[in-house]
Amino acid sequence: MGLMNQQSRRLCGGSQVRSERFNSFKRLSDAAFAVVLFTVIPAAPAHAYLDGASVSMLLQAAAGAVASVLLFGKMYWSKLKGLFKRSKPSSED
Amino acid sequence: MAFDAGSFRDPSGRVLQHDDRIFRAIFEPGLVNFNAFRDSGALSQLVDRGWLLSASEVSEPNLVSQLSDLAPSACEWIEHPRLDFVSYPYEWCFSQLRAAAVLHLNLHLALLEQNFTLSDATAYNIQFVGTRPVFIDHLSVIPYEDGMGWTGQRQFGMQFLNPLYFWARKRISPNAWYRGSMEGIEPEELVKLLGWRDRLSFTVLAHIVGPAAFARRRVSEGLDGADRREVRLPKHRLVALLTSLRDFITGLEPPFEKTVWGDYAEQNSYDAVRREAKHRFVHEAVAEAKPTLVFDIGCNSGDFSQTALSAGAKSVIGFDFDFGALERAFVRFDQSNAPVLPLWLNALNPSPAQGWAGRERKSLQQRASADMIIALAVIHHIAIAGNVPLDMAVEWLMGLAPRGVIEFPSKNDPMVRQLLRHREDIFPDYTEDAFLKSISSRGRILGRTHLGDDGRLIVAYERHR
Repeated sequence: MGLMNQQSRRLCGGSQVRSERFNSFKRLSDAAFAVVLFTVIPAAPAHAYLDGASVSMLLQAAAGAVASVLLFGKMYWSKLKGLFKRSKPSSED
Repeated sequence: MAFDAGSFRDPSGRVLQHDDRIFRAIFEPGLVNFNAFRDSGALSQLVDRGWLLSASEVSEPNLVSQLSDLAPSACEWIEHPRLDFVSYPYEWCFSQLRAAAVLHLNLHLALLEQNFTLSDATAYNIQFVGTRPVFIDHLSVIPYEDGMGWTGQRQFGMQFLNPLYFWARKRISPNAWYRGSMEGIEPEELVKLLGWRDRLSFTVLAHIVGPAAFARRRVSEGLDGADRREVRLPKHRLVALLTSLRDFITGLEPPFEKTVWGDYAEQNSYDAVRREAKHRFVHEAVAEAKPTLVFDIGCNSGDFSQTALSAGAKSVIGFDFDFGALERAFVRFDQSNAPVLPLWLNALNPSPAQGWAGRERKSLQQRASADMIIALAVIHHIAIAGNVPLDMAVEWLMGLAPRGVIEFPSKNDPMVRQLLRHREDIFPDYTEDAFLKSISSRGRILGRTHLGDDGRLIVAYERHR
């Protein structure tokens, strides 16, 4: 995992820049999410009849919450970096 | 039945062809939602952005009555522009599938901003215009109700995320699997191929591992499992979910592998003189034929698709077997915004008709609406590497369009000698004379030449009517 992509891509409409530091914050959240996921939903062998289209609202709610935190964290981090960059030149005088 | 064989599941509407035009019948179940979508202005905004296929109301009374004869229960009719070529997700290269996935998510996010959402997430709702993906199912747009979840999550996973993940991270092209199963790659299957490193990713957990575990649990619980609780998904969280998924997919890298044909355009045995002669011949043949649509069979990275465009072709569909070449072609024509759509094709096993009643998805043959083909440096692959008798190979190629250009590398050619190096030469009929006879028995030869001294034979023809 972790193919870092530092360049922006034309294909996407939103922001695409990821940083190294953000990734370690993300991993912590990922690990926490994994703990939640694997204790709550047990695995079992799949058999024939299945309602193909159904989705888990519980799963989406949990995933949505984590995604929301990650996205907020990403924006917060970018803002923080922005502040830091602006003050840096003066500290190098 | 007048309706398109692939348009039947949605009670809201169905698509049909009439007089070479494309119409969509909107039935009662879909009327309110469609009108809301249109009246809000969101529909035209998305069309202007190039994300949604344009739709115009059919009001001309004569036409409406003709259409009502075909579908009496339709409440409203809209018309769509005709696409050059209908392609399916299992015919796309990595960058195309990724572009389609990103478009879908961007569209969904834009709709949510206007308080609409998508009722499904099938990849067959996206078509390509050149290298640009466009959404074509207007009736998938429904009003957003507060707390609604993402109903299309599983479908998006199966038809976009899973094949892309398989491709980028496992470096295997999913097309054969995708074509065979048609509805995509199930997370329950993909999960068996994931290692611990894969499972460290939030996106993989949320959209592959999670749904797979849920599906298994539903099966083991039986059909009357616990009642679904009233779980809400707040809008900003749905937006976050879709945004993070979009960013993840945007970041997936195409599998970089040194394929035999990746460097072909630069490294082949042609010298500049012969290449120039070939471009000239193709240019002249295309300029004379004035085709609207050209099929470039064995397009590689698109050099001759470009020549066809320069000679006046309106658009080109490029076909190739090699994904490295297709990626290069896609990037090239995406950057120049040229009307070329590169697609995956194995000439020895073209896409068959399949799906419901064997007719839901059309075969390549059924979609072959080109005015002209160019088949350069490809017939020896079919006839020698593919073991298809030369005459049958010519017949198949000529069957694709009324006019064409075919290049014939003889047994003296270094590429053909390479193919024959490690196998028995069981091709006594693979000769220039036999080739010319195959063509002239089915059409009229308009021009022919040898490219350079002792070069390959190249022929332009027009099929008998």
